[in-house]
Amino acid sequence: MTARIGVVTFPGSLDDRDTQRAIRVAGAEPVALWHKDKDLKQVDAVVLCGGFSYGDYLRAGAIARFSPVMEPLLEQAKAGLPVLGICNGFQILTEAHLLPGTMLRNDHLHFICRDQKLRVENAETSWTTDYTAGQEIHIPLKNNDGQYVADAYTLDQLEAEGRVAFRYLDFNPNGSQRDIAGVTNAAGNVVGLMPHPEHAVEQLIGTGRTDGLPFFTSILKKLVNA
Amino acid sequence: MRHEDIHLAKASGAGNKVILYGARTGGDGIGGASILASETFDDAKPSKRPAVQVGDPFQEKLLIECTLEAFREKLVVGIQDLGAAGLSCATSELASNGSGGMRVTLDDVPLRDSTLSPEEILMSESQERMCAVVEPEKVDRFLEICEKWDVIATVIGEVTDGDRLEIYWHGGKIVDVDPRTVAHEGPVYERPYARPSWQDTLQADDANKLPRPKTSEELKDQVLKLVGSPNQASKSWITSQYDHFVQGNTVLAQPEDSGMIRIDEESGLGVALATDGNGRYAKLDPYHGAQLALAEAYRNVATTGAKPLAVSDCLNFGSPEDPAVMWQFAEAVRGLADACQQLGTPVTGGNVSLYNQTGEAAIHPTPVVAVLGVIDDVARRTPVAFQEEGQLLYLLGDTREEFGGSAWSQVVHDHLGGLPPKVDLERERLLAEILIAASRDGMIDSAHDLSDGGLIQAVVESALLGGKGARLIVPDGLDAFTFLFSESAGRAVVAVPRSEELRFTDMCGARGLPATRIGVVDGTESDVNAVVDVQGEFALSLSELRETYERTIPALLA
Repeated sequence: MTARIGVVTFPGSLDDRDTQRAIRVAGAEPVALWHKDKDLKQVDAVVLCGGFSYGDYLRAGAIARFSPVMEPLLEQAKAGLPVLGICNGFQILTEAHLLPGTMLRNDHLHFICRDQKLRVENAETSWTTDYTAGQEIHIPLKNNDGQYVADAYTLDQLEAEGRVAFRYLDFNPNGSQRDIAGVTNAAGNVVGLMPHPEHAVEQLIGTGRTDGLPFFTSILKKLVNA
Repeated sequence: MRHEDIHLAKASGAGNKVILYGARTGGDGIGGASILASETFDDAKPSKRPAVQVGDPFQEKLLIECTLEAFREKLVVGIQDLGAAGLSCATSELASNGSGGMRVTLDDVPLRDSTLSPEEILMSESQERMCAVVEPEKVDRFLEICEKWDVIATVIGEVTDGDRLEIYWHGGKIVDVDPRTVAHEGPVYERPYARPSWQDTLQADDANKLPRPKTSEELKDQVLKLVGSPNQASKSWITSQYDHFVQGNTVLAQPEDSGMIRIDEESGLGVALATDGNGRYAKLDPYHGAQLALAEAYRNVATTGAKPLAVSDCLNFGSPEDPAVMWQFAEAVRGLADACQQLGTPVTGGNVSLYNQTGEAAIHPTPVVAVLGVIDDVARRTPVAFQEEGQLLYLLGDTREEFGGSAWSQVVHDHLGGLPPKVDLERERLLAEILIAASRDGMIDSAHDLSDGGLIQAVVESALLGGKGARLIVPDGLDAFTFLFSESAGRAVVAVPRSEELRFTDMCGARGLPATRIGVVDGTESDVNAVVDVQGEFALSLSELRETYERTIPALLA
């Protein structure tokens, strides 16, 4: 008996297949969810993957947030369903107010794709227990609108509550405030980040590192042990 | 995609429906192909609408997913994208490749602009449109899939058992032709061509006679100058603006010698692709210049461990109405055809871009060649980056005094003259076989082809990518300058683990490929003393090389 982890495909999702593969590589069962689905097929967790849902029209994530699948997702996430938002998925989670803050266009105004060094700040969320706090990892990053911003009060609160989950190290690739790469909700079940852990799960592929795999093994352990 | 999943652009089976799906048809791109293919850029003609279409990647993504899903359910008899000349081209090609005729009602085409005339609808090159031929009983399911992906789909006609392409508009028949006359029987140009009068003078202006560096200091300065020149410098400022991870099968990406993706997760089967072209070589000798482009792409694929199999190309030239340009074009095509025959690599298709000139000044003739290769197991691929200190560097192939069209002659002397490097396709084939065997059998840990900029450029790139230094020794019989800067073709530099040295050199010896030990991988970048050192000449620190290699393009473009 393994965990079933849903991956939502919106029109314009790009990394849905990659995310499903990463879940498989970690030993869990990926379940394809469609943006028009009105239920979550009883999955144990959900990943919102990267891409440019609805062409990034209006704002990245702004339209996807109103997809039918988001209704049960919002309800269940608030009740504790583990949800991971990667890149466009993170943007959707902030648009849906499951996570605070928002993403602006990169400060240098270019799309950027690079192997990014991060520090794991919070190793206690549903998606990060296989890391240790302070661990330095490399995860591919690729985005156009990755500049994390929030008002000073929110940022102070996030810091104080240990809800900054990941921080950029050595180089801030998009001008994010306080080098924030990812955040978690207070309960630790909803996590969003701009870099792409699903691209770092096999030694041969991408950057040749597997630093992203613990996202998927963390959640698997949590679900199987639950 | 597997062989049995390939769908062809042909309309067969009377009664089958012709479905246009994707974006609505607008007034953009009308006459686009004919304008781009037949006018130079000096005519400042006003135009109400852009002849060049604006792409919509979001619509394209939906169209791709929708099409693949229709393929998976085997709903499609024939299919074609709408490119140059839009619907007129797609309908006539589908019909002429099939067994029957076709009847199309233009009134049914979804429009972005209701004022379009029928000839504009036929000629529009609005992007993100496809035409599918579907059996009547499968039409509903096909339309359902389009609806799922929010793609507009409309039945605009059907295949007939006649042999005419008939197009109707407001009840009247406005086109009634034999589609073959439209699709396949275009006029054949017999353009006059002649070897330009200046070609002899150009070839006589021998780059091998240019003044060479006289001191080690001068040699070192020229190395830095080359590494930092726009053509040789790092392109990562550009490539980092594109996603090279998506779909999670990227094994090698830029700046490797070829891109490589895994296509089968179980077996590790993969494909590799490299594109190369050198307009300077082709200017000096279009016949051999085109062959050198092919040879380099072929070599680049083999360097990563894949077997080169097939060729595509993009032939970029000035105005073919100029007999000199037409001669360059004819020579390049002849050169490419001869070389493909010899290497056994079929050309599966390609693209021609003409009229690339301003006034009388044409671009260098620039045949760009893409070579596709296959590798049985991507785990055996060979990267460019030096992997481990202590590994031995071997130069494969022969190094001659060949500086015509070289990066050195351009960067140091702003010179273009003489003859390009000699082409030896049998040597290229042998080199490729050795590189593939060495990859497969684990005899080499890194490899880099030698091309523009010569050996030193290749070694610097392998060093910077791997964050490892190198110590080089000029081999007997060569001077340091020729060793570092010659652009002789049919060469590569490989890093061999010491344990594999004998096996590797035995293989090269037995096959008759010259392999010369030229140095060793030494030093890591974390050590500030790591260098690329040419014994008795100079040493350049990795940090200085990296700074020089990486700053140029951002300084010019950012």
